[in-house]
Amino acid sequence: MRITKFLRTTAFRLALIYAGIFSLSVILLFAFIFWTTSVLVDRQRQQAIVADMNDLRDEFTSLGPSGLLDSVIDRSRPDRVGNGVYLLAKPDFTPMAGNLSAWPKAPARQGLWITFPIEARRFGDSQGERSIAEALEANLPGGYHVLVGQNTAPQRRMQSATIQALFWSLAAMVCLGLAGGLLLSRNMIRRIEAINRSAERIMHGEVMHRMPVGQSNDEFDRLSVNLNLMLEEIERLVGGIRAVTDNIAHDLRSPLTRLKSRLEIAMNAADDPIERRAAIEQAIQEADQLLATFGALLSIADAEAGARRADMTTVELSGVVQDVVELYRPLAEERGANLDLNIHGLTRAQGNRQLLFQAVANLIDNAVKYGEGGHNTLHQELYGEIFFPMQLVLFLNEPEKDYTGGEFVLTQQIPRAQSKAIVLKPRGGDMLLFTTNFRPVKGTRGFYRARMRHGVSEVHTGNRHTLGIIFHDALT
Amino acid sequence: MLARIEALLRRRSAPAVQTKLNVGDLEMDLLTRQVRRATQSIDLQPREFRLLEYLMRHAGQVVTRTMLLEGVWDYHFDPQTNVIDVHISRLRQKIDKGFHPPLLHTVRGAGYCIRADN
Repeated sequence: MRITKFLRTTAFRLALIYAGIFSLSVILLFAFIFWTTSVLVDRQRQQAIVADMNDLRDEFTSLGPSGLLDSVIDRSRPDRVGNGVYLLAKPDFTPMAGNLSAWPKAPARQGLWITFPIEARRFGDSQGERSIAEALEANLPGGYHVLVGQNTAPQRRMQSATIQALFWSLAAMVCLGLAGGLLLSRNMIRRIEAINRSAERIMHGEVMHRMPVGQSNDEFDRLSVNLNLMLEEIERLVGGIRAVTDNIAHDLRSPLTRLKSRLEIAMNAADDPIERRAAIEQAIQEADQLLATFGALLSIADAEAGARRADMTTVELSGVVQDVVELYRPLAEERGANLDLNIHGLTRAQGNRQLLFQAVANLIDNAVKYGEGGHNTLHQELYGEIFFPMQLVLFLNEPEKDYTGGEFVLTQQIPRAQSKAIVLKPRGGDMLLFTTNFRPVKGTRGFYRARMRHGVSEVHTGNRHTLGIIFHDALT
Repeated sequence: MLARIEALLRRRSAPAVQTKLNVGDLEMDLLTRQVRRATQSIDLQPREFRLLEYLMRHAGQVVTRTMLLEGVWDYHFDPQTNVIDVHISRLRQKIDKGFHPPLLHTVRGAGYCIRADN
């Protein structure tokens, strides 16, 4: 993989920012240490010089000029002197003893302290090293001058060593930070790329493909799991739409075919105005039926989308039922049926007044319809996200006695062939349990599923009463 | 301009005090809730009265079954069977039977219309 790809990742940038902040804090820490150690070392050196000077003064006091001379000679011996700087001079500044060749000319002064350049030679070194010395000077009785100091070179060496250490550790840290950032971003890119590749495969049509999920249950795995759940939800919704589309196609095919044949009849019956008019009227009826089917499908879609939930109010159920009965009573009377209403107490419920009215109206509509001439076209109840595989019908009165016609009709679709009709005529008190969508049928190579439809043939005389139970998903 | 506005205001306020609806020789008094055809008083059920009132307020216009259900029963849905037709035919029995010309017309495939001319 190209390096620029890493450099552009968020993980790498984060690692870089982190390394930067860490470096800054390390620099600050080093500066603090550097400053405090410098101060400490300066103070220690000055204390050592002051103590040395006091020793020499004591020597002078107790042993006189010759004692002091011995002391200075002794201290400035090359194998003992170390970083020390000593000079004893006559009143005219001519050196008498010490490791300086001449009294320093015009040294820089700061309080009691003087600083001046020296060329110090460490013991065993052949060449001198240019450096700065810091010293105290004193005038002794008898005109003698004495100078005690120390070379600052070791301290400067220590300081430069510290700075070097800082530099190297910073360099190491930046390298480690970069390496860590690269490693981190490589890992991140690998995980993200896996998800991206899966998404691309899905986009290119592999809709059943899913995001890879690892074992660690980290945030990437959780992201993948959630994406997979989202994909499943989308697939389920698309499947639902497909099922509804299938049903609409099935429900609309036969009315459209009938409409077409009516129009063909009308076209062929151009000579007979009465026949033509009848055919056109029938075509209009078919069109009305189609519109009604569309209306019902739309309201089911609305209800499933939850759009109607906003219309929920407290509804007086008895009032709704009274309205329905009042609307349907004339129709029922015309068909020779009686609509009696008994309401006990008040019945309130949360609901949509319009939909409740329509539900009760549909019930009564069906009840009234199954009088003479009533029928139920072949259909399937497959609306909603969940439909149950079976339905129940309880036959409440006796065929051939209370009514004639009105047989229960089932059709079974046979692949690549015409449908097979099954006509049932249960007695009063019988219960019929039938499948909603498919039925297993034994073929030459085991069972296959056959699509089923059901309906009721025309009632010739009397009134047919049944109780149908459709199980339905009530949560949508 | 002012005159136009005043004219418009006059025209708007006029129907507000309307207490009688007339279609041909059919007359509805909204205050006393009485209906007459020619000289004969017609006895209507409350729902039939509202149905006729809705039709007469839309005299000359085609009124669909859905409109009637919404305007008279205050429910919005598409009736499957001819439930509205039965109500209309009962109303027709009361206002048109024995009179000439018929006022309540069926508009095929659309709905109903109440109007006075042929």
